[in-house]
Amino acid sequence: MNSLAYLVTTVLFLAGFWVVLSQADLVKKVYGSGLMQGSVYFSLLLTDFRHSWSLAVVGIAVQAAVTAVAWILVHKLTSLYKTTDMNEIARLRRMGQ
Amino acid sequence: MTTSLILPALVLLPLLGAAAVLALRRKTEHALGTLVLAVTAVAFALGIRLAGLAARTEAVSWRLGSLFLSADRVTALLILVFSGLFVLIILFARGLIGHEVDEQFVPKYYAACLAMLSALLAAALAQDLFTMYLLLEVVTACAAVLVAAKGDKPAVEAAVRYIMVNMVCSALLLMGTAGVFRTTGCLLLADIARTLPAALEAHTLPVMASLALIVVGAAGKAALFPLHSWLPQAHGSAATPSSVVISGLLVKVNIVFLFKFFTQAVPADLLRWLPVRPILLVMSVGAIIGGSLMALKQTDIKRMLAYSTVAQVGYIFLGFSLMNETAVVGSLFHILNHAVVKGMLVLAAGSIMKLTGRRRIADFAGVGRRFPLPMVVFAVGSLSMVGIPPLSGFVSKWYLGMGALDAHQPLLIAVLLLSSLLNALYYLPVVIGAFFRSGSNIEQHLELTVGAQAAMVMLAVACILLGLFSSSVIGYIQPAVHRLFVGA
Repeated sequence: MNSLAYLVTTVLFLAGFWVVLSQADLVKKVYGSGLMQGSVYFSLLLTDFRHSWSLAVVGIAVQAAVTAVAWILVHKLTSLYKTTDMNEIARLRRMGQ
Repeated sequence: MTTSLILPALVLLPLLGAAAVLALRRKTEHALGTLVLAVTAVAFALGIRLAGLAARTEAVSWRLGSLFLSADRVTALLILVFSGLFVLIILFARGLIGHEVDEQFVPKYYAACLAMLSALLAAALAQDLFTMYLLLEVVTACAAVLVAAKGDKPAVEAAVRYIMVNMVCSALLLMGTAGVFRTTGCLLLADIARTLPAALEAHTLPVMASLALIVVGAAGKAALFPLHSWLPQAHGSAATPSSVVISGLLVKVNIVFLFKFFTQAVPADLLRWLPVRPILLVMSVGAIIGGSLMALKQTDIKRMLAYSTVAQVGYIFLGFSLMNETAVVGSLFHILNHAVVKGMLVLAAGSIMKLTGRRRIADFAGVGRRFPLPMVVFAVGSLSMVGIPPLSGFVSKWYLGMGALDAHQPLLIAVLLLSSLLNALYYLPVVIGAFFRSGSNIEQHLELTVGAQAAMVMLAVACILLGLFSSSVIGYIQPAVHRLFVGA
């Protein structure tokens, strides 16, 4: 049971990492980093619910707040550039200079 | 061990201040600025009181349920740095912030400042790994707001890049923290120190991986070379007070996280055996040389200062990775020194940018004759960066150099000297150009407030006094550092 939980966690964590690194789309990047952090809490809860539920509750709340700030900033940037693609944004910025 | 209510007060006071600012958001920018200034000043006064208490006992602490705050002399010094720099940042920002940030946004800007101060102080005081991690998250969110506050395209883009990099680093840090929790079964730093050796024996690979994740996550958040790519953009496009927060405080709190973890949660003999030190040593030498070389290439003054911060982060990590008393004292002194000196450089450069509307280094020619005060402050900061005695920069370099000798690494002295030379090569031309070359039609766009001028002068005075009376600061923290090496 425990080793299966670790395996699932590691796969989810690495999948999130891969999404953040490989995708230029900001929305996907935010989801990817959420997946990375979420996988850690998921594994804590799966393997040791009794000792870690309170940590996970507080941690997920704080993570939600940080992610909310990230969404607001992404929304603001998207409204300025009309795209969610980071490479495109960098290209537009260089053109504007 | 003494119990004191100052510790929770230090955390709660700025938080209440942030709530008050949001509640009073209809008041004028000036009135809000005064309120925020008062809150930060009280926090600084509490910090002085705490420093007095910490001098008389091994540790001042406070506990409520599982929340445990504790401060020794080193923590007290960090609290003075964090709160003191914030007082001067707000003193500078009051009256000028309306020029850089949308009027509607000013209350939120001040609230983010105070929330961040609260999280910074709590992160210095907290004794539990998970709480420390959560506080870094709060700091990240506040810092992203401060970077984006200007609201123009470069600032928002920099804030998005900053928060993306930091969320990934946070995830790595969280994975490492969870790994430590799972293998040792505890989160309080002192408990981890007791259980870690046994855990390392039983689960070598998971513990090593967790420690590596913590180092990479926190080093990335602290902009340690080669994980520094987010810093120049955030530093370069943010409003001036935000830039000071980034290089003076944001980077430091992550370094403090690593310092606390490796001195309090990892026993000293274990730390000598782990490969953390050589890795950090290589990265910090890379930061010192690489950061300085990249600063040399910049044409924009704020980006130059940002790359200089990359190099200075290297200095701080260099002392910690040498792991002897002299070098660690040098690193801690450099946290204080860099907060003061980079604070004055950024504020001075930011004032010139606001006064003249110029930000290219080449356009700074002649501004020193037109606006002597900010440029004199910039000159003092530059000389301190180069390491000219008796300014404060010389003291940290001296202690780091002596620490390198103690660690039998004389080559590092050459690195320090080379970096001083590079610092001279990119700082002094700005100063010389500003005073001795003539500039054409420098216009004045606005008036500097008395508070802004006072903030710069106070930082310059602090830089000189720190250099002259460095022995009293060092004498204050030395017993606590000594305990780290002997007590373990």
